[in-house]
Amino acid sequence: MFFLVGACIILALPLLVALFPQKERKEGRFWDLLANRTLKGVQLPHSAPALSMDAWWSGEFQRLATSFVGERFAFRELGIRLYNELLWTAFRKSYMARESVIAGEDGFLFENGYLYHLKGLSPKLSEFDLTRFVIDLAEIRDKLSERGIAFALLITPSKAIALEGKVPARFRLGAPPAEKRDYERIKPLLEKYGLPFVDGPALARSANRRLNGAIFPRNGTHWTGPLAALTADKLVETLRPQLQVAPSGLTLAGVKVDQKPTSPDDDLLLLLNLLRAREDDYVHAVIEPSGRTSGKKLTIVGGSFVHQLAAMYDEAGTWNNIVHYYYYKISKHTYPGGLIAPLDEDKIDWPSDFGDTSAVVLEVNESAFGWNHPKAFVAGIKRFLAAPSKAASTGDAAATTIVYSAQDWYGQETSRDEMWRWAKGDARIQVVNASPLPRRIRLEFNLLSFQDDRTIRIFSGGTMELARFQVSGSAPPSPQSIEVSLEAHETQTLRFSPSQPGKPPGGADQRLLAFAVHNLRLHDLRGVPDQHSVEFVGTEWFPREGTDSDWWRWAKGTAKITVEAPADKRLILQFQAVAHLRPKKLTLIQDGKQVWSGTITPDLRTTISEIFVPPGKRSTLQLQSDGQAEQAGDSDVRLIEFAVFNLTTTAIH
Amino acid sequence: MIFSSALFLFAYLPLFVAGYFATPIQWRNAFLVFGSVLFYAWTEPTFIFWALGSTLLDYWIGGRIAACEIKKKRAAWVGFGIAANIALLGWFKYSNFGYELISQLAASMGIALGKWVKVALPIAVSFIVFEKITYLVDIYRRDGSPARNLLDYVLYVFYFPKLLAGPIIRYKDIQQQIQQRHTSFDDLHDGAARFVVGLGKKVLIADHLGAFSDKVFATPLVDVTSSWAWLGVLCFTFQIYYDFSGYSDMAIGLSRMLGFRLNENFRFPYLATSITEFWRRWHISLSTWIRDYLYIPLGGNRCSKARNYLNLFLCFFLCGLWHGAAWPFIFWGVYQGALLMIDKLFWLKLHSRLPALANHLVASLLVCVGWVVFRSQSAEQIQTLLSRMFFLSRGTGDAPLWFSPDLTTVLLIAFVGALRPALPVISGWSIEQGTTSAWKMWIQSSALLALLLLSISRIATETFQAFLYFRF
Repeated sequence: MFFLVGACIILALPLLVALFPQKERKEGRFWDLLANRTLKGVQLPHSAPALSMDAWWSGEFQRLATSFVGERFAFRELGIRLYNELLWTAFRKSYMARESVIAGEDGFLFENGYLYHLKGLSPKLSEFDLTRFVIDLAEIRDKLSERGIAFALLITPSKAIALEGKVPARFRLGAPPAEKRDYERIKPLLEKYGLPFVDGPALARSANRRLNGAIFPRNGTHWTGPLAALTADKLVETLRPQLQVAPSGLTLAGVKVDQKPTSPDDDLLLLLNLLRAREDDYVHAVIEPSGRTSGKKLTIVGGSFVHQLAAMYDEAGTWNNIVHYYYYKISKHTYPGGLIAPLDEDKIDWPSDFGDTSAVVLEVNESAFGWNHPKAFVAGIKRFLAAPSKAASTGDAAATTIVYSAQDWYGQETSRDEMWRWAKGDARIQVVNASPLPRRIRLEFNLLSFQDDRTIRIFSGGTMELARFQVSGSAPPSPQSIEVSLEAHETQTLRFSPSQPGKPPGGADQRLLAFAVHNLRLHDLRGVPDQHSVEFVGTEWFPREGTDSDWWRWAKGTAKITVEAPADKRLILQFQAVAHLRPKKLTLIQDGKQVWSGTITPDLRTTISEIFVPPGKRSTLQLQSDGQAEQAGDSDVRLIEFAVFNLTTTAIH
Repeated sequence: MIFSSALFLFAYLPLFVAGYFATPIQWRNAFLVFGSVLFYAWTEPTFIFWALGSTLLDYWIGGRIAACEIKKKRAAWVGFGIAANIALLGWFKYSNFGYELISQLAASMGIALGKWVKVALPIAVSFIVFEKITYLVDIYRRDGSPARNLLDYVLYVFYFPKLLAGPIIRYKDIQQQIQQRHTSFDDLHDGAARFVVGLGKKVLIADHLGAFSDKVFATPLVDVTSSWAWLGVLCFTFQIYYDFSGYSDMAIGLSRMLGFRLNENFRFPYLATSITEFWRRWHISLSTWIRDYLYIPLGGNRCSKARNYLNLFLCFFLCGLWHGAAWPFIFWGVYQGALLMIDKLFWLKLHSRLPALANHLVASLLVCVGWVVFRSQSAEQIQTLLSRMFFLSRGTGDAPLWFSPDLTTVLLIAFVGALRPALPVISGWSIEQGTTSAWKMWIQSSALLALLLLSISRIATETFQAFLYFRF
C-alpha cells in the first residue's frame, strides 16, 4: 500500500502541478526547484508543439511534445540536482554537459577539452597550417598597420597545463610530451615573423609565485581576476609601440579573498548543478589605472577568457570603447555597459569595428589553435582588408567566351539592356577558355520556361549533370548560376535539357519555344591555384568540381601534378585526398622518391600537408593507389578512383 | 513514445491508468484499444494505417481458416496470410538491405541501378508480424480459435505494453484474459513494482553502461586497447540484458496492473551453462516462436541428423536476420546456429563431465563473443575487437576513454543482479518471492520508491545536457 500510494503520488504530481499556474510567481528555493528556474548551463529550449495535420504526420509534433514535456515537468530540476549530487558525492563523477567537468586533485575542477589537450589526445595543427596561420596574421598585421591600427595575438593559458599537478593522475604526462604542442611550435614562428603577441602561459607561470598559486580558481575554467589583470596590462604594453595615442596600463594593486565568486570563478561548479551549495575561497583583483590616458577603441575577437579582460579594462577606463566579438561570430559584447547582442556574420560591422579602431586583438587559448574561430576570423578579416582591390579581381572574363550552338538556339533578342535566346529543346553552349591559365568561371543567368513548368537540367561533357532547376512557366525569370572549371585553352560543352519540348507561341511565330536563357553573364572566379604554377597533368584527371571554397578533382588512375616553386621561396603543398567507394592505399612519389603513403577512405578527407618543393625547382608529384577505378554513381558513368581536394600552395622563405 | 520518457511517465501513464479504471468494465477493451492505437500512432503516424489494414486482413483470413473444413483450402488461406505478413515485414525491414545487395552485385557487373528511396523502418513491425502469424497458424492447426470480434483482435495486435519490445504473445495465451479479467489490489501493487524494477533496470543500469559501451564501439579501431575492448563488451553484455529484460519487466508489470498476465521473457540467461540453455532463458518468447513456428514445421529433430542440423542452422540464421537487416546480425545468427550445432554434435555430452563453473565460464565467454558480433558495425570491427580481447593485437589507447568508479559500481550491481538466483542472500529479497514480514515489506516498498525516484532523476538528467557557454 505504502509503495503504491507513493508511486501514484510521484508519477501524478507533475501533472497536478502543471495545473497550478501560480507556481511561476512563487519565490524561494522550493519553488525554484519545482519550476525549474535555476539550472546552470546553456541549452536552447524546445518550442511548444503546435498541432497540425502536417506536424502530426511528419512526427514533428510528437518530437516537440516529447522534448517540451521532458524539459518542463515539475520538479525536473530537483531530480537533476538529486542525481548529480548522488553521483558527485559517491564517485566525484558528473554526467552534466556531456561529462565535460572532471574532478582533479584538491577539489580542482577541469574542463575535459583542456585535459585532452594536455594529454595530447586532441588533434594538433600541421606545420603547414601553423605556418600559414602565422603568415596570415603577419599579412593582417601589415594591412592593419597601413590603416594605422595596431594588432596583437593574445595567447591565453590553459588551466590544465598551468596546474598540471592538480589534474587527475590519468591525464598527467609524467614525462615531456613526445610531440610539441601547437603553442610551443607557434612561438618561434611568431617571433620569426615579428608578430606582437602576449604569451599568456608564460605570464601565468611567472605570476604563479607572485599570486601565491591563485592563477586559476578551484571551481572555474578561466583565470583568476589577478592573472587577468596582469595579462590586461601586458597586452596594453604589447600594443603600445604600434599606437599613436597609447593608453595607460592598469596596475594590480592587490588581491582580495572572500567566499563570493564573481563570474566566471565558479562556472564549472555551477555547471555540475548539484543540490547542495559548496563554499570556497575566491581571489579577486584590486586594480588601479596607472594613468588617465585612454585608448580610442579596442576590438577583441576571442573566447570566454576575454570577458574578464574586457570588464577590467572597462573598470579601469583603459579604452573608451571595447568591442568583443565572442568566438568571432556568436555574439557581440560592447563596453562600457557590457551590452550583449546576437550576431549575424553577414552583418559584422567591419568598417567601424575593424577599420576604425585603435587596435585589433585576436585571443586564442593555447589549447585552441585548431578551433574554428581563429581560422574563420582570419578568413573574414582578410576578405575585409582585401576589399579595396576586390573590384579588380572580378568580372574579368575577357579570356573566356560563350559560343551558342546555332542549330540549338534561336537568334538573340534584346530589350533595353536585357538579352535572351530561346531554345526549342536540348540546347548546347560552349564555354571557351582562350587563356593559357586554368580558369574557374561562374555563369549567371535567368531561366524562363514557356507556358509550362519545366525542369531544366544542365550537363557537362554530355553525361555529367551539373545542375537541375525547376522553372515556373508563370513566374518571372528565375536567377540561377553554375560554376565550371576549365583547363588552359580548354573548351567545355554544356547541354541545357528541358523536361518538356517547345510549343508554338501562336500567330505568325513559327518557332517552338521551350525555355530561354536570359542575361547570361560570366564571372572569372580565379579559383584555380594561380600564385604558383600548379598543373594537373595528363588525361587521368577529371575536370574540377565543387565551389570556390571547396573544390576537388577526381582521378581515374595513377595521376600527376607538376608544381614549380618561385625562385627565392620554398613551396609547401597541401591537399586532402578521398577514396571512391572503399578505402585505398595512396602513395605519393615526388620526382621518383616516395614522400607519403597512407590509407585514404571514402568518408573522411585525409590531409596531406608536408610536400615541399625547393626554391626555383619544378617538381612532379605522382599519385597512385592500390585500388581500381569504379563507376562514380547511378547516373554518373565516369570511372573514378580517388580525388584531390582543395590543393593549395604556400611559399615560405 | 518510450516507457522511460517523461512524457510517458508523467502524462500518458497516469492519464491512461486513471482513464482505464474510470471506464466501466464492459468498455475497458475499447478504451485499451483506443489507448494502444494512440500510443502506436504517436510514434508511427503513417505506418499505423498499414498495420491496421494488415490486421483487418488477418482477422478476415482467420475467420476463413476457422470456417474452412478442407485442409488444403485452409493451408492455402494460411499461406496467403503468412505471405501477406512476410511481405509487409520484407518491404519495411529488408527492402533497403536487399537493394544494397542487388546494387552491389549489379555494380560488379557494370550495371548501375536507378535511384532508391529508402524505406523507413516502423517500430515494432517485427513483433507485430510474428504475433499476427501465430494467430493464423494456430487457427489453421486448430490449436486456437479466432477472435470473437474485431475489437479483441485489434487489442491483441496493438496492445501497447508489449508493442515496443515484446514479449511476443500468442493469441491463444491471452484470449481468455481479453474476454474476461479482473484486477486485484495485489495485481496493481505487484504490477507497479515490476514496472518500477524494469524502469530501474533500463534507466539506471542499461543506459548507464550503454553510454560507455557506445563510446568503446565508436572509438577508432586503431585506438581500442584490450582492456577497453573487454570493458566495452562487458558493458554491452549487461546493457542488452538489462535493457531488453527491463522493457519486458515494464510490459509484464503494466499488463499485470491492467489485469493481464504475460509469460516471462527472460529467466536469468547469464546463469546458463551452455548455449542451448542460454536460448531457453534468453528472449523466451522468440525462441519458443522459432521452435513452434519454424523449427518444428521444418522437421525439427524428427528427421535425419544432417537435416536436423540444417534446420537448426536455418532457424538461427533467420533469427539473426529478424534482429536487423545488416550483416553483423546475420553473422550473429549464424554464430548462434553454429554453436547450437556444436552443442548437439558433442559439446553437451562433454559438458556433463565438466564442473558447472567451467561450463558457465565457457558459455558466458561464447555469449560475450556473440555480443561483439551483434553490436559491431562491420566485419572489420568484429575482427579487431576480438583480436584485442584475446590479446592478438594492441591498440594505441589514444582516445579519451575512462572507466570511472560509478561504472565499476553499476557493472558490479549488474553482475550480481544477473546472477541473483545463484546468490541466496540476495535472492531472498526478490519482490517476486513475496513476503509476509511487515518490516521486510516496508523495506521493499521504500527501496522500490527510492528506485523510482532515482530512475526519474536520471531521466530528468538526460533531458539537460547544457554547454558551459555557447561556442563557435
